[in-house]
Amino acid sequence: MFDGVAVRYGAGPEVLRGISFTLAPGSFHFLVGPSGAGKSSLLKLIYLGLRPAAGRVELFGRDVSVLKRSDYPAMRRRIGVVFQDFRLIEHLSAMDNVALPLRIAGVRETDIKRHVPELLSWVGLKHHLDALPATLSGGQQQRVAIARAVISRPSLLLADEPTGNVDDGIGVRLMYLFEELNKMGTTVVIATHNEGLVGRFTHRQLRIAQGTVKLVDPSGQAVAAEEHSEAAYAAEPEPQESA
Amino acid sequence: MLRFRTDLPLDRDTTARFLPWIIGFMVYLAMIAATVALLVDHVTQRWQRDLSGQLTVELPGIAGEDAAQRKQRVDAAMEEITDTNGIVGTRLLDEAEVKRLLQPWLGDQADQLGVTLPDLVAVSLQPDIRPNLSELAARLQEVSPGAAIDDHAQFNAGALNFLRTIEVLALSLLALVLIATAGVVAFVARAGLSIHRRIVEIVHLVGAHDSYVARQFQAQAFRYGFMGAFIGSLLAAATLLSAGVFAARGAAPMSAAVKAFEPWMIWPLALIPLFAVLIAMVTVRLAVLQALRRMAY
Repeated sequence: MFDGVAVRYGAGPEVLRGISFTLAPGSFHFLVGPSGAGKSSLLKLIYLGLRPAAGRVELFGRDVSVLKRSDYPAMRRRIGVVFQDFRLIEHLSAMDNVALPLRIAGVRETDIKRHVPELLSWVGLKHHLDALPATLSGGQQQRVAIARAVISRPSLLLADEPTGNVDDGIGVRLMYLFEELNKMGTTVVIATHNEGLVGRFTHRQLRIAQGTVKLVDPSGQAVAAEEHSEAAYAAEPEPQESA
Repeated sequence: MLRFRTDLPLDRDTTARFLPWIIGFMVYLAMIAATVALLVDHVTQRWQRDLSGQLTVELPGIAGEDAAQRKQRVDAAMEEITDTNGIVGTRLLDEAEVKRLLQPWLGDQADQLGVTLPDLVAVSLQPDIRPNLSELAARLQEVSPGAAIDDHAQFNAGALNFLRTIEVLALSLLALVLIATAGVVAFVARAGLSIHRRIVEIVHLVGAHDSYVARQFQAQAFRYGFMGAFIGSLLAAATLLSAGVFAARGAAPMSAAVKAFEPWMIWPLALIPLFAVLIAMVTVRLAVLQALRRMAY
């Protein structure tokens, strides 16, 4: 839930201002807008990579402004993020990159060795388990990044231009993966400037332009804020944490 | 050897590559300093114990005195000494012993110098009871004029002061070496954190606690600390064994120091490398956690 949120980098001007919207649990939204409009900044606010300059951000029913540093890991484990620049760890294999969130969460190696190859196989990287990111193409790296974001079945999935480096066929296949996750209850936000892709799906959109955000339905009609429920987040149980 | 799976490629850092050798050198210095401190402390205690339980009474010869008068005077003095509370034994040194003791001053030809040698009485004291030496000195003056009591206090104090200074210097060096080790290890950890900042951000963003990152640095500190401790211990053992062999053949103070080494001293020395590994791990953890708290992610 965003309420009057503004974003500013250092002493610069506000890149986002007066942002208010609520993402209902289990919803699927596209975050659309031209390059440089502030899509990545908005995603950063959600994955706790940035603090708002003004306003209130509530995540899973908790006000992020009162979170302690030690609270962040538990919150972040509920969020899967696909970064625009992938942010893969260069010296780790595709397998180890995808396994990273599981290892951090303390999942057993036997489970990791079963689930990670399955998922990499699903995204078409069955034969690249031991490949280092530098040896993979941009599209393959992107699929490793997506696999890492979804491997721990997050409550909220954020993807920044997830289909930017893949061909249309794989792009649609990845979107179906996101929809499958969404059907299992994951809230999904996909930031993209690919209007063609957005048009193929019937999901609501957060349209970002000139520093403000407008919530619209697939036909482009504005949606009233009241239509979005926020109560379910507060009721959602937090997962068990292991350091 | 001692490989751990880590998300951070810490082994590739050039700053960390020399860490085992630096820790090894520090452990080496610390073990040598600790050995010196242990030996000096042991020698000092033994010396203090030996000297504090003894004193010497010098009964100067009197010109014109014949052998019978001399014996009578010495017997009377011995009786006064024996009667003193806190004295448990007396032994009159024979002429050969006296000559040997005075040899540094009179040389081998003492007989030809025409000097009347004094009589020396070695006195053993009862532990924990200090005899009234001024009162004994007064009584001795009556039976043997010129009698002097040497309780070694002056020499004892000077020598002990010197030995204690060496011991304090050795312990100070040991402390400095351990502090320097901690400083170097903390510097290397901070440098590593700075080099791998991007990866640290990624692991944070996928849900890692600061302690997860710190554990990776700790694992590296353990490995490098262990290697360093092994290298340092090996070199220190070789140095001490060589020094022992040479010193045993050398002059009295050195051979005395070597002889003062006792098997139990190996245990405190063996703790130093383990302590160095522990210091490395704790320092790294604290340095990394402190640096992470300053990071935005």
